[in-house]
Amino acid sequence: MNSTHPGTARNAHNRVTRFILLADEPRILADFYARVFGWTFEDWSEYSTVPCLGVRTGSGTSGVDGVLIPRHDLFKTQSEPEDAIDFSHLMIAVESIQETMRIAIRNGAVPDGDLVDVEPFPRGQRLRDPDGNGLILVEGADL
Amino acid sequence: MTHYLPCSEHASHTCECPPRPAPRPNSSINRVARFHLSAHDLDRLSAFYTALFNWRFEDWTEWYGSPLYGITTGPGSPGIDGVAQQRPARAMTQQPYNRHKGWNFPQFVIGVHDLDAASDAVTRHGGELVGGVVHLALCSRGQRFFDTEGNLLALAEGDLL
Repeated sequence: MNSTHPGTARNAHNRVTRFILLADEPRILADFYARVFGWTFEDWSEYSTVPCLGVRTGSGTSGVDGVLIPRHDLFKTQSEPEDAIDFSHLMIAVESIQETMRIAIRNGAVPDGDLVDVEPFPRGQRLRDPDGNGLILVEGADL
Repeated sequence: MTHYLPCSEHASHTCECPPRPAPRPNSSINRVARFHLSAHDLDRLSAFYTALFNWRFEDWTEWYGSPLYGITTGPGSPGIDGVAQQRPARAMTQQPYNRHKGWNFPQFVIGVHDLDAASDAVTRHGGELVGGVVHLALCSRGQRFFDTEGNLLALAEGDLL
């Protein structure tokens, strides 16, 4: 696997720009998606403090790529209930996490833990919208 | 002209497995192309995301037959749009499901050419189908599944452009 850090695309702020998959066995999961959908995976561990794989889903213009992160490592980054880490997350790039969280909380969102490093992206904050859907905001990210 | 790829298990065209169509340029096939949010209160949900990210919501209920909002997240790239569905209505479309205490999390949708073939591939490679084939917004048929690590995603037949 070649390692290529994601490129800059600041105009994607406030969009759902990536997905996150969690795995106890990242290589087995990568093999599953490679076989079923033809996705390719890159080792991004050198950009991160935890082992992680970049996920390329294809070249079509409609679609996003993702990140595959070991479940245990993501769990360690925040104080989230164990039963809440078994699902994929929407990742949304924002200009300012602080400003976005101010608006989010004012509108009924609940933070999930504190501001954290969401490797390989600079800073992140997990939250729940008023209906309980889980999101991750990332700031200053090269998406 | 349709191009075909080798089967997903073999790297050559010489195997006897049926070929699979290659994705068309600019298509969403085999990509994560939509997201689903669920809500008890769709108006509250739309007000939240409009205030937070300036997303636009369009009421597709009349077209879809049950409460459903289309979500446009913006013109930038990369990025995907989605739908928001009322939680009780959505839960009724498939078998009862409580592995993660209900439907309180977003899901991603992968466009596929052939839902039956993709579903077969999911199970053949260790995934698990969740419920039966259902009608989904924005496409003809859909099927939820767990991957080998328990992540819940959905297949949708047709191009999600």
